[in-house]
Amino acid sequence: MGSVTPFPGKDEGGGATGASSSETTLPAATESDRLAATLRDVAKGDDAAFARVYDATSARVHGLVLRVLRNPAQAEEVTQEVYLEVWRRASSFDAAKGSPYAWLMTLAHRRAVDRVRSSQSATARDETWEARTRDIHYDTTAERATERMEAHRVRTALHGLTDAQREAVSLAYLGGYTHREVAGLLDLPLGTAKTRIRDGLIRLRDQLGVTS
Amino acid sequence: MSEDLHSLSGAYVLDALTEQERVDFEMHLRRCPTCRDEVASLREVAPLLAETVASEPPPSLRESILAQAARTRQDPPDAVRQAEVPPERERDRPAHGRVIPLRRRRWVAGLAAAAALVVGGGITWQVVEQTTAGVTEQVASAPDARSWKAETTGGATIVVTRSEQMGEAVLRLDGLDDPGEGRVYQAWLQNEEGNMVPAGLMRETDGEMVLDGDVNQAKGVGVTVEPAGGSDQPTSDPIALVELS
Repeated sequence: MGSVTPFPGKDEGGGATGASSSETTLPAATESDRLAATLRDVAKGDDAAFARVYDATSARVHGLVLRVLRNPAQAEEVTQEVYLEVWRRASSFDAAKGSPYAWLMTLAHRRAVDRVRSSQSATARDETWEARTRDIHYDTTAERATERMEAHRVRTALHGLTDAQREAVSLAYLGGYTHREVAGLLDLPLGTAKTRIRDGLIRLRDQLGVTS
Repeated sequence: MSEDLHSLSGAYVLDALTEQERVDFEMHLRRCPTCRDEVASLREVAPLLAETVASEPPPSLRESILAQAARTRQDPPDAVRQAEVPPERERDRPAHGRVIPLRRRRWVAGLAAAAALVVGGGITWQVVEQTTAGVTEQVASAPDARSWKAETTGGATIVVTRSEQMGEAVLRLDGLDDPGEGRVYQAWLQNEEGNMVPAGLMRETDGEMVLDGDVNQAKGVGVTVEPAGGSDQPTSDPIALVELS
């Protein structure tokens, strides 16, 4: 399993452009505040506000869901489920507990992972993993990718991880695998897989200057 | 704090835990401020990973979603108190801790046999809490602690956490309705023969208690509404029965 491709675009010059892109900033606090305020309007039944939330976030939600599911039709279904849940449960968003992005993306990721785990057994996914990683370059995900400054910044931070950490984080988040499955895929002791995932995330957090 | 559980924070944030591990870790989170802080900070990292795979959905999806939202009723603000777990996950999870809709027949059959096994049931949960607050902590952080979670039809949560090494189990109730004037919640252990043995009383709608009795042999934990002071045997259908399997 030495050739797991962690993140698409990893080798597309992300390293070379890293130095300059590291000067860009995280989504400004105001952007987060604006999304939180828009969600509060959504909670009051404001459908125009809902459309604004969709426009501001759908590329990230859909891209994530598509990456986890690897199936455009299923990805559209799950993206639709995610936004309907956002519409229904907007009032449960609590800014004191975290950012609106974290709320939304957590919801999207869980739905995608639930779908992938309920539709495919872990064994079946293990067997197709290598075949699927080979397909990444031809995947529509890469072609339709929406390039953002933020993506460069995150890729730069990812380069600051060890290969082992990056693989483990990538398989868990974008592959939708459990840490036990990650351990199996990378032929690691169970404790090592969960430690790599945690260490990788902590390192990313520190490099990206994320505060909660 | 168990070091083993602590190291699961990253996998938890990335949804990379099995269902059982997730329930156990969420129980642990309630006790461990260090893990809560770490999870909160890592939660903000995960969305950034999605930046690298952003991909515009087809335009038709936008119309479809906006049209469907217009036909969909929103949840009232108070209906969902926890934003942490989408409710569908709870409903779709049959593997463990499911609420068993007990048929009255089976429950009553158990009662007849249970009548011989009267255990003093007069301890209120508040007293239990004062004397055993340390025990609930110890059970939750025991290396072999396992939790089972169930939801009542009313949407309340019941979690049983047991450490077989300690021979103790803790029942946590979250979001129950008021049991009513002169009534209490009573916990029961279901033993090997299916009999219900009193395991303690709780007046609170949110709270926890250490269960009385031989928890390691218990096959299930039931909760009923009983007259204040409790009953020697259940006098009503259980609001939930958590199967410890």
